[in-house]
Amino acid sequence: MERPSLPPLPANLTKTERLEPLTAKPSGKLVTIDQAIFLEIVTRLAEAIGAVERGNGRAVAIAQERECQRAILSTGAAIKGC
Amino acid sequence: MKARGVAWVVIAGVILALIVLAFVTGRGAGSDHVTAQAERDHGARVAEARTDEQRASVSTATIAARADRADALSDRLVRQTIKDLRDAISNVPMPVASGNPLPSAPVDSVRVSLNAGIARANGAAEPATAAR
Repeated sequence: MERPSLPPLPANLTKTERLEPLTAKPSGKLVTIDQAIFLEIVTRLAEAIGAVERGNGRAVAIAQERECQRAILSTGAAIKGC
Repeated sequence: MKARGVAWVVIAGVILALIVLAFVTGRGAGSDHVTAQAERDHGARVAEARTDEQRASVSTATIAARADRADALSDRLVRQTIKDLRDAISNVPMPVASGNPLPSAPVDSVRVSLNAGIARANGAAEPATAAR
């Protein structure tokens, strides 16, 4: 029997993001920074990194969800990981 | 002669009527048959579609639950990282007198903590990691 087919999601709709690790070596040029300011900057950076992690997880989940729907509609059976 | 003509006309009429009758009843029966077959096919297709919908919604719910767990885990790890950073930065000893040199910020431990987060963020971009 003829089965319906969903189009695949374009890859750019579920593109994930990559972050560069911190690798700078000390230059020896010193500046002072208030502890509270430094702490806030570092805290916000940690939160932003966490946001990228969750966003990546969602992008991967959406791509997978679409593939699962496609497989179920076109074959009637779920593929691995669905 | 005239009576025979009328008889022929009657016979021809009867034959014509029989042909029309056979045509009409046969067509009715044929269309009933086709309709019943179409209804059976349609029923089978609808049942199949409902099964697919059921499977699809179960699959979507599974993936959504997995994403929720990943979110919650990420939240916990970020909170832990921030606590570690706060402790490391707050625990730097302050100079006792204003003439003493300023202490260094704990940049190494901050970098290690943040890089661990960056590695997790990049790991979440891999489908294999997300499927756990």
